[in-house]
Amino acid sequence: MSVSVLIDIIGMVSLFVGSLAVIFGALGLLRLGDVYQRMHGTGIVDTGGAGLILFGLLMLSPDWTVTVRLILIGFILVMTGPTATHAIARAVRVSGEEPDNVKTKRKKAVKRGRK
Amino acid sequence: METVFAITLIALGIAATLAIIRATIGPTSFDRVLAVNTIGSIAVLLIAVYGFFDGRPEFLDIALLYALINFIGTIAILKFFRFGTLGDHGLHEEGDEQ
Amino acid sequence: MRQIAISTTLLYALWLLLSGHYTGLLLTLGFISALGCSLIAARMGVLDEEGLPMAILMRLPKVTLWLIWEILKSNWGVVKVILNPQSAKPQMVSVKASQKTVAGLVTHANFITLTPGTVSVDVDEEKNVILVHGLTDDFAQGCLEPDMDQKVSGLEGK
Repeated sequence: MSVSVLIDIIGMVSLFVGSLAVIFGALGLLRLGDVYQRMHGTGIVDTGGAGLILFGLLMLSPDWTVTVRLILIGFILVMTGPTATHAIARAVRVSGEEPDNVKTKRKKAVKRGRK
Repeated sequence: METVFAITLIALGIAATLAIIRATIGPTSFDRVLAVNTIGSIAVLLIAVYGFFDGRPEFLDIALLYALINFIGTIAILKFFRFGTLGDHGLHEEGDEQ
Repeated sequence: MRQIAISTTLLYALWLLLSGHYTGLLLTLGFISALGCSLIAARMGVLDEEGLPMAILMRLPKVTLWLIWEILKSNWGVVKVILNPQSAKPQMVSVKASQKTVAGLVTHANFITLTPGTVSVDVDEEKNVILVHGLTDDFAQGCLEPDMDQKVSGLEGK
């Protein structure tokens, strides 16, 4: 009895933390500087958020067929997420856009924007 | 138990809204593709959690399909950006009409 | 021939797990469709060591726990950067890879992208170099350490 309660609590906590991770990932998509940096926000949604939410559902799953499907969804997300991100990154690079990797330059731009 | 699923659904909705804002304003078209890809990932989770919320885990099959289609859609859009067409590479030789 | 057998077995196991109906006719039809998919894939020429890298797939569970721990650590790091976007210091680094097969190199690049904070932008399979975009100094330098490289080379087992 107590073991099943413990598993339920682990599942709920995992769902909660996963929701927070997904929100932070989407926030990163909105707040970070250029398109290369925003990819890291997508990375959080694809790994931390999806992983924790699916793990939480796994803990709460009522049936073994549900468990199999959840594991399969996790496997597919983990395999395809990085590949899609890499494809976008390569497309951006091929299109000729360079990341702003010099920090001082961006500070100046921000200051100029404020004036 | 249902409360936990409802909270998770609301959180996923907020995240999808943030991603839609980025897809609307995003300066370059790659920002939009990235945002749409993220919305797809969030939608997979949304469908899965909604299946549990409603007590109908058959929704997981739909989530599985959506995960696959999301990936193929992203690759298709990127290929269209690069080559301007989906069927061939647009690299025919001169006078190669069909 | 061996690849077709492996692929058919894997597909049929997947069908059995997902189907949920176990009558004689449906079991036969499921086996026929698994075999048909494998034959079509073999005719397309995608069933080689690259399309079905069994050596890597078999050893994948060994690094799963380590990979999950790395992902959780770097998730926390990226969340901190998102809360304070001015602390981001993006940069590009070239990572030397020691993998010998193309499938191993792709696995390495995928692992780099899988850990948030680093995205593999370009993979050069002739020089075995992966161009990586890191969000901060820590992420970029962490990528240059040989830890992940050795783990993926261990997956190849050659």
